[in-house]
Amino acid sequence: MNESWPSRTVELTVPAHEDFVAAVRAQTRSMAVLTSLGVDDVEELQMAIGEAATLLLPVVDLATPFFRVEFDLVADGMRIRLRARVRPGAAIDREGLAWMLLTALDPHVAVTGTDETCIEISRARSNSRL
Amino acid sequence: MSTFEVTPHTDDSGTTYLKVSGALDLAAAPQLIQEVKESQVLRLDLSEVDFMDSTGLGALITVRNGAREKNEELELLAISRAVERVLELSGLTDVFGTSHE
Repeated sequence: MNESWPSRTVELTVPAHEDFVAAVRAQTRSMAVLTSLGVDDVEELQMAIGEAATLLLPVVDLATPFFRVEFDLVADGMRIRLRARVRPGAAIDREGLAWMLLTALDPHVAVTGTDETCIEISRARSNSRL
Repeated sequence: MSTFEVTPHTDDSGTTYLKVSGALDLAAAPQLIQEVKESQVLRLDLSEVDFMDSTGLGALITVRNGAREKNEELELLAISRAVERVLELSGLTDVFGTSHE
Protein backbone atom coordinates (compact mmCIF):
# COMPACT_ATOMS: atom_id res chain seq x y z
CA MET A 1 0.00 0.00 0.00
CA ASN A 2 1.50 3.29 -1.11
CA GLU A 3 0.79 6.20 1.23
CA SER A 4 1.27 8.66 -1.63
CA TRP A 5 -1.87 7.51 -3.40
CA PRO A 6 -4.32 10.43 -3.52
CA SER A 7 -7.25 8.03 -3.25
CA ARG A 8 -7.75 4.42 -2.28
CA THR A 9 -10.94 3.75 -4.21
CA VAL A 10 -10.98 2.73 -7.85
CA GLU A 11 -14.18 2.59 -9.86
CA LEU A 12 -14.91 0.70 -13.05
CA THR A 13 -18.05 0.64 -15.16
CA VAL A 14 -18.53 -1.98 -17.85
CA PRO A 15 -21.49 -3.28 -19.83
CA ALA A 16 -23.33 -5.97 -17.92
CA HIS A 17 -22.54 -8.65 -20.45
CA GLU A 18 -20.64 -11.91 -20.16
CA ASP A 19 -17.96 -10.68 -22.55
CA PHE A 20 -16.91 -8.01 -20.02
CA VAL A 21 -16.65 -10.21 -16.96
CA ALA A 22 -13.08 -11.10 -17.89
CA ALA A 23 -12.26 -7.37 -17.82
CA VAL A 24 -13.63 -7.11 -14.29
CA ARG A 25 -11.58 -10.12 -13.26
CA ALA A 26 -8.46 -8.60 -14.82
CA GLN A 27 -9.00 -5.31 -13.01
CA THR A 28 -9.53 -7.22 -9.79
CA ARG A 29 -6.18 -8.92 -10.26
CA SER A 30 -4.44 -5.59 -10.84
CA MET A 31 -5.98 -4.02 -7.75
CA ALA A 32 -5.26 -7.06 -5.58
CA VAL A 33 -1.62 -7.02 -6.61
CA LEU A 34 -1.40 -3.35 -5.61
CA THR A 35 -2.61 -4.25 -2.13
CA SER A 36 0.13 -6.89 -1.85
CA LEU A 37 -2.27 -9.79 -1.42
CA GLY A 38 -0.75 -13.21 -1.88
CA VAL A 39 -1.05 -15.21 -5.08
CA ASP A 40 -3.78 -17.49 -3.73
CA ASP A 41 -5.77 -14.52 -2.42
CA VAL A 42 -5.52 -12.76 -5.77
CA GLU A 43 -6.75 -15.84 -7.61
CA GLU A 44 -9.61 -16.36 -5.20
CA LEU A 45 -10.70 -12.73 -5.42
CA GLN A 46 -10.77 -13.07 -9.20
CA MET A 47 -12.91 -16.17 -8.88
CA ALA A 48 -15.22 -14.49 -6.38
CA ILE A 49 -15.85 -11.38 -8.46
CA GLY A 50 -16.52 -13.58 -11.47
CA GLU A 51 -19.12 -15.55 -9.53
CA ALA A 52 -20.69 -12.33 -8.27
CA ALA A 53 -21.05 -11.16 -11.88
CA THR A 54 -22.47 -14.53 -12.87
CA LEU A 55 -25.11 -14.13 -10.17
CA LEU A 56 -26.09 -10.63 -11.24
CA LEU A 57 -26.15 -11.10 -15.02
CA PRO A 58 -29.47 -12.97 -15.21
CA VAL A 59 -31.30 -10.33 -13.17
CA VAL A 60 -29.82 -7.13 -14.64
CA ASP A 61 -32.32 -4.49 -15.71
CA LEU A 62 -31.78 -4.28 -19.46
CA ALA A 63 -32.74 -0.60 -19.42
CA THR A 64 -29.53 0.17 -17.51
CA PRO A 65 -27.25 -2.78 -18.27
CA PHE A 66 -24.06 -1.84 -16.47
CA PHE A 67 -21.84 -3.24 -13.79
CA ARG A 68 -20.32 -0.68 -11.48
CA VAL A 69 -17.36 -2.00 -9.54
CA GLU A 70 -15.70 -0.22 -6.63
CA PHE A 71 -12.38 -1.39 -5.30
CA ASP A 72 -11.42 -0.15 -1.84
CA LEU A 73 -7.72 -0.61 -1.31
CA VAL A 74 -7.45 -0.69 2.45
CA ALA A 75 -4.46 -1.15 4.69
CA ASP A 76 -4.91 -4.88 5.20
CA GLY A 77 -6.43 -5.95 1.91
CA MET A 78 -9.28 -5.06 -0.41
CA ARG A 79 -13.04 -4.74 -0.52
CA ILE A 80 -14.92 -4.98 -3.80
CA ARG A 81 -18.50 -3.92 -4.40
CA LEU A 82 -20.18 -5.04 -7.61
CA ARG A 83 -23.42 -3.23 -8.33
CA ALA A 84 -26.11 -3.49 -10.97
CA ARG A 85 -29.66 -2.31 -11.32
CA VAL A 86 -31.92 -5.35 -11.41
CA ARG A 87 -35.35 -6.03 -12.82
CA PRO A 88 -38.23 -5.29 -10.41
CA GLY A 89 -38.76 -8.25 -8.13
CA ALA A 90 -35.73 -10.13 -9.42
CA ALA A 91 -33.20 -11.58 -7.00
CA ILE A 92 -29.95 -13.45 -7.37
CA ASP A 93 -30.03 -17.24 -7.30
CA ARG A 94 -28.79 -18.51 -3.96
CA GLU A 95 -29.26 -22.16 -4.82
CA GLY A 96 -26.87 -22.69 -7.71
CA LEU A 97 -23.18 -23.37 -8.26
CA ALA A 98 -22.23 -19.68 -8.49
CA TRP A 99 -23.57 -18.89 -5.03
CA MET A 100 -22.03 -22.05 -3.60
CA LEU A 101 -18.60 -21.13 -4.95
CA LEU A 102 -18.91 -17.47 -3.98
CA THR A 103 -19.77 -18.28 -0.38
CA ALA A 104 -16.98 -20.86 -0.25
CA LEU A 105 -14.53 -18.24 -1.47
CA ASP A 106 -15.85 -15.52 0.84
CA PRO A 107 -18.04 -16.74 3.71
CA HIS A 108 -18.68 -13.11 4.66
CA VAL A 109 -20.06 -12.03 1.28
CA ALA A 110 -22.81 -9.42 1.66
CA VAL A 111 -25.73 -8.87 -0.70
CA THR A 112 -27.69 -5.67 -0.23
CA GLY A 113 -30.21 -3.54 -2.09
CA THR A 114 -33.31 -4.26 -4.12
CA ASP A 115 -33.59 -2.06 -7.23
CA GLU A 116 -29.81 -1.85 -7.25
CA THR A 117 -28.20 -4.97 -5.91
CA CYS A 118 -24.72 -4.80 -4.45
CA ILE A 119 -22.51 -7.81 -3.79
CA GLU A 120 -19.59 -7.02 -1.53
CA ILE A 121 -16.64 -9.30 -1.16
CA SER A 122 -13.40 -8.74 0.67
CA ARG A 123 -10.08 -10.34 1.29
CA ALA A 124 -7.55 -9.50 3.96
CA ARG A 125 -3.92 -10.35 3.91
CA SER A 126 -3.01 -13.34 6.05
CA ASN A 127 -3.40 -12.77 9.78
CA SER A 128 -5.52 -9.66 9.18
CA ARG A 129 -9.24 -8.96 9.30
CA LEU A 130 -11.18 -6.40 7.30
CA MET B 1 -5.51 -15.14 -19.67
CA SER B 2 -5.28 -16.70 -23.08
CA THR B 3 -7.98 -17.22 -25.66
CA PHE B 4 -10.30 -20.12 -25.04
CA GLU B 5 -9.67 -22.97 -27.45
CA VAL B 6 -10.77 -26.55 -27.88
CA THR B 7 -8.56 -28.54 -30.22
CA PRO B 8 -8.70 -32.25 -31.11
CA HIS B 9 -5.56 -34.31 -30.59
CA THR B 10 -4.68 -37.96 -31.00
CA ASP B 11 -2.50 -39.75 -28.48
CA ASP B 12 0.10 -42.46 -29.19
CA SER B 13 -2.52 -45.19 -29.03
CA GLY B 14 -4.60 -43.47 -31.68
CA THR B 15 -7.30 -42.30 -29.27
CA THR B 16 -8.73 -38.85 -29.83
CA TYR B 17 -9.09 -36.33 -27.04
CA LEU B 18 -9.93 -32.64 -26.81
CA LYS B 19 -7.35 -30.27 -25.40
CA VAL B 20 -9.03 -27.31 -23.72
CA SER B 21 -7.06 -24.15 -23.03
CA GLY B 22 -7.70 -20.63 -21.77
CA ALA B 23 -10.48 -19.42 -19.50
CA LEU B 24 -13.39 -21.83 -19.13
CA ASP B 25 -15.86 -19.21 -17.96
CA LEU B 26 -19.40 -18.11 -18.69
CA ALA B 27 -18.36 -16.78 -22.09
CA ALA B 28 -16.71 -20.07 -23.08
CA ALA B 29 -18.80 -22.75 -21.38
CA PRO B 30 -21.41 -23.02 -24.20
CA GLN B 31 -18.58 -23.50 -26.71
CA LEU B 32 -17.17 -26.44 -24.75
CA ILE B 33 -20.58 -28.13 -24.63
CA GLN B 34 -21.02 -27.57 -28.35
CA GLU B 35 -17.54 -28.84 -29.25
CA VAL B 36 -18.04 -32.03 -27.26
CA LYS B 37 -21.49 -32.53 -28.75
CA GLU B 38 -20.23 -32.12 -32.30
CA SER B 39 -17.09 -34.20 -31.88
CA GLN B 40 -18.63 -36.88 -29.64
CA VAL B 41 -15.25 -37.00 -27.89
CA LEU B 42 -15.52 -37.57 -24.14
CA ARG B 43 -11.84 -37.42 -23.21
CA LEU B 44 -10.75 -33.95 -22.14
CA ASP B 45 -7.33 -32.59 -21.30
CA LEU B 46 -7.88 -29.56 -19.06
CA SER B 47 -4.23 -29.06 -18.11
CA GLU B 48 -4.07 -25.72 -19.94
CA VAL B 49 -7.26 -24.21 -18.54
CA ASP B 50 -5.95 -21.18 -16.66
CA PHE B 51 -9.28 -20.13 -15.16
CA MET B 52 -12.57 -21.87 -14.49
CA ASP B 53 -15.76 -20.60 -12.88
CA SER B 54 -19.09 -22.11 -11.90
CA THR B 55 -20.40 -21.98 -15.45
CA GLY B 56 -17.33 -23.88 -16.62
CA LEU B 57 -18.00 -26.43 -13.92
CA GLY B 58 -21.62 -26.49 -15.02
CA ALA B 59 -20.49 -27.26 -18.57
CA LEU B 60 -18.45 -30.22 -17.33
CA ILE B 61 -21.46 -31.48 -15.39
CA THR B 62 -23.65 -31.10 -18.48
CA VAL B 63 -21.18 -33.05 -20.60
CA ARG B 64 -20.82 -35.73 -17.92
CA ASN B 65 -24.57 -36.14 -17.51
CA GLY B 66 -25.08 -36.25 -21.28
CA ALA B 67 -22.49 -39.00 -21.54
CA ARG B 68 -24.06 -41.00 -18.74
CA GLU B 69 -27.44 -40.86 -20.44
CA LYS B 70 -25.76 -42.78 -23.25
CA ASN B 71 -24.01 -45.15 -20.83
CA GLU B 72 -20.68 -43.48 -21.49
CA GLU B 73 -18.26 -41.69 -19.20
CA LEU B 74 -16.56 -38.32 -19.39
CA GLU B 75 -12.85 -38.76 -18.78
CA LEU B 76 -10.66 -35.89 -17.62
CA LEU B 77 -7.15 -36.86 -18.64
CA ALA B 78 -5.46 -34.01 -16.82
CA ILE B 79 -6.54 -30.89 -14.98
CA SER B 80 -4.84 -27.63 -14.16
CA ARG B 81 -4.57 -26.11 -10.71
CA ALA B 82 -7.39 -23.70 -11.61
CA VAL B 83 -9.72 -26.59 -12.42
CA GLU B 84 -8.62 -28.53 -9.37
CA ARG B 85 -9.40 -25.57 -7.11
CA VAL B 86 -12.97 -25.22 -8.39
CA LEU B 87 -13.58 -28.96 -8.06
CA GLU B 88 -12.28 -28.81 -4.48
CA LEU B 89 -14.45 -25.83 -3.57
CA SER B 90 -17.53 -27.49 -5.03
CA GLY B 91 -16.80 -30.86 -3.45
CA LEU B 92 -16.97 -32.55 -6.84
CA THR B 93 -13.40 -33.78 -7.18
CA ASP B 94 -14.38 -37.41 -6.71
CA VAL B 95 -17.28 -37.11 -9.16
CA PHE B 96 -14.91 -36.48 -12.04
CA GLY B 97 -12.09 -38.82 -11.02
CA THR B 98 -9.38 -36.45 -12.14
CA SER B 99 -5.63 -36.47 -12.36
CA HIS B 100 -3.71 -33.29 -11.64
CA GLU B 101 -1.05 -32.07 -14.05
